[in-house]
Amino acid sequence: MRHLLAPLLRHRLMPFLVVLQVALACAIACNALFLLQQRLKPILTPDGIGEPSHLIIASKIISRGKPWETSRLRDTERALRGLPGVASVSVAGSLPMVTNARMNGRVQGVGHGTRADTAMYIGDHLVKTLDLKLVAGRDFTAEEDAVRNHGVGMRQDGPVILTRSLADKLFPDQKAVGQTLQLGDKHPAVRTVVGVVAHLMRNDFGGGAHRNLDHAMLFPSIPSAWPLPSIGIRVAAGADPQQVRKQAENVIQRMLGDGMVRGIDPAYDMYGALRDQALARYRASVWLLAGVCLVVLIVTLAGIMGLTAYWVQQRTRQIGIRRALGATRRSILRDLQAENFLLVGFGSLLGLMAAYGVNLWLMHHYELPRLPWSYLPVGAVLLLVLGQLAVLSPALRAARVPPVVATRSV
Amino acid sequence: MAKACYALHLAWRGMRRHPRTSVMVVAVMALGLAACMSVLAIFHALTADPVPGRSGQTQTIIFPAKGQKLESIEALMPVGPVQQVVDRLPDLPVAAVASGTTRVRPSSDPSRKSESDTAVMFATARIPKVFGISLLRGHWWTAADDRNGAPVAVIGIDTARRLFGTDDVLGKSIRLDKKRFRVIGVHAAWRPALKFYSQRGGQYARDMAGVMVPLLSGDGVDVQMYGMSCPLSQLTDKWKQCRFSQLWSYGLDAGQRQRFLSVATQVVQGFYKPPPGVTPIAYQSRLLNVREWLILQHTVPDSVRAYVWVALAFLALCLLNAAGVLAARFLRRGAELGVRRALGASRRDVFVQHLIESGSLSMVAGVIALPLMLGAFSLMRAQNIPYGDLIRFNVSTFLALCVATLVTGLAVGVYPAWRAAVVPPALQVKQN
Repeated sequence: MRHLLAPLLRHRLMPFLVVLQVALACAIACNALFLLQQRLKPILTPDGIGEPSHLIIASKIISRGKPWETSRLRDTERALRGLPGVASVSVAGSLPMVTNARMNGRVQGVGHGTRADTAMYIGDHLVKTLDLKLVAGRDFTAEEDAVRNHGVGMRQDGPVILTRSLADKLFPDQKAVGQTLQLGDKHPAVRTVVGVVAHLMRNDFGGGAHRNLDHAMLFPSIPSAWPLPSIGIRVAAGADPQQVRKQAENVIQRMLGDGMVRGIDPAYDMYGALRDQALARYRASVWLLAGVCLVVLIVTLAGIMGLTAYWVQQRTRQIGIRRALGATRRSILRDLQAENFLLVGFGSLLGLMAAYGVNLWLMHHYELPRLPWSYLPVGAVLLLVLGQLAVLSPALRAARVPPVVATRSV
Repeated sequence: MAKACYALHLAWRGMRRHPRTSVMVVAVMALGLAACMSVLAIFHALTADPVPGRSGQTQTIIFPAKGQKLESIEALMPVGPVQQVVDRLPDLPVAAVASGTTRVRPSSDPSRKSESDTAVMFATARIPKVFGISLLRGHWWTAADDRNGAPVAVIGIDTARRLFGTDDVLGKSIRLDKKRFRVIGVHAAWRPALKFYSQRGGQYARDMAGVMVPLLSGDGVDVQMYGMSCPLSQLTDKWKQCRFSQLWSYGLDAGQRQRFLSVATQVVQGFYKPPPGVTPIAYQSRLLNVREWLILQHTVPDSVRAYVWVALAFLALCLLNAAGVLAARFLRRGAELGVRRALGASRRDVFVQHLIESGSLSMVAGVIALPLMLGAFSLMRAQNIPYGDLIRFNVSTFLALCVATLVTGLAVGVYPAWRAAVVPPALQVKQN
């Protein structure tokens, strides 16, 4: 051990630079990876939508002056359903990937303490139109879909369908179907769980690290007194989605056109395209952050390599003397690797503390999520591996130093 | 002079002798500079003081209920009460403001297509005093115009030239949506760095108010607004009910502030009088200056702050890296430096030579960082981020880059150059 530490303490500049570089790289990598993971979340969360290429979403159907009359929306829905090639139609308050209208709330299982933040999709036939996978219970009945909502329908008793992850959160270790949950505190609306779907993504992707994007619930029937509904149209298996989209556009324009706000045109998107659009920002920052991580690691690798090469060169004579005194090539190689391990390990430790400290400071002053502990060892291991890679070529060169160097020039 | 030329020559030879490390140092420094300066430029644009010299004195009022968390929407009130507050404080520089966008065209020319999305400010008469807007021609409207909702307008000089092709527009008429307004004044260009009086992402918009009209005259005009209590983005039918106007004041002393607060609170309390038997809401009104107001609205997104520190750390890493490489390179020359020193070169000569070598490398890095930065900016503008419009490359960004290049060049070079300069003359000749 002494022969490892002594040179580090004698020539302080090079080890010091290596340690500082590693510390900085480690701190950056930890935080960038964490930011990256957060940006990745909406892209990786399963949205639950089946056959995205056969789903049309009409959004930005904004009423002028007053909200749409429910009867008018129902008529439009009927007309759309009459189109050839249409399998199912839903009028909803909001739909997945529609980001200009969102409904969110906090719910609590009746008799349970856990609260959860969740998206609410209020609309008829949603399970069928979105092609969601029911894993327990049943879909809403025709009667439930025909109920007239008071207002949007949030503060009203009735049935509800949850995603599996929301059901697990609200009713751990219990069957969710048949349980009741409540919305609001003072005069809560109480809803009975009738079904559970595998997945359904919420349409606001922001929020902290702890927010589960797969927390969503469905209410039946279409929202009343709502100015910006979205319409989902499921295209039948054999039909041409583009053609159906054009026809649907005509129908919606004919039925609702005269009540729409001027200057904002409704959008008719295929679900896949809408998803790409909604997630474009996240995808871009994922590339950016991944690029940052990669560049940081490459820069560090090159830095450690350059410094170690110089340091090895400086000690050529000492290495020659050790070889002449009987050290094997392998032991020289191992010593240099161990030395690198020490330096990088110490640097990583400093870096981890810095990363955590900065994160704590940011979290204290701003609404940034806490850096999970699990990121710290990941960053350290990454840099240790990187350090070993960087030291390999200089160390091999050092191991090749012949013992005869020791006898040259005194 | 000759000495400087010689030092430059040596620096050039030094760079050519180690092409690989030269390229690496330049690349690393260029990357570090570009990344850091891009993020800092964005941060700077977002934290810019919109009304320099006035922002501490310019205050808005916010009406949270007692014990409630401060939210920016609580600053918004319907036009009725805010007009009443302004009327009850005729001696104070206080004005009500609502901003939005609508269609505008000169009314004399019906064939001309309306400009859509022109920024319009609905305000009360003392707005020029409160926001510091100067007038070029004509006059502002009066408090009486405010009360009557007179259809008169003061337009910006840019807007006048755009709509009419001249600055002499007094007496001409424009149409906002369908309503006709007579132009009574032309105000000078007024461009705060941020549209601080707007709400919810509206503060990032680049178009400042080009048309100003009395608050109550907006009734019947179809306006799009960023911040409003109603879920509709349309105002035609909701002018009286929705909350979208905000009160601003300028340069009040302590006593006047107290009066402003108590009058405003009283009016709002009276406006939201509950039915008998229900306890009225207790408002805990507060004044916020421009800076506090922007913080409340999260004008600088928290993610940008995280990026700033990552970028700074990245620059530090790049500099350390370059410094390490340069130190290794300079110290490898120990023997020849010893010879130079033995032949009579002073410490200073050696120091300057190495500083010039590292300085020229950082200069090259700075030159390469410029296109990298431009590329990063256009990439960011192409993303659909709310503050994308604010990302501009301007003279100050360029100057900042130059200064940063110089400083980093020094930071990277000084220590290695000093280490090279302290090499003792004779000792090194002996080695090898």
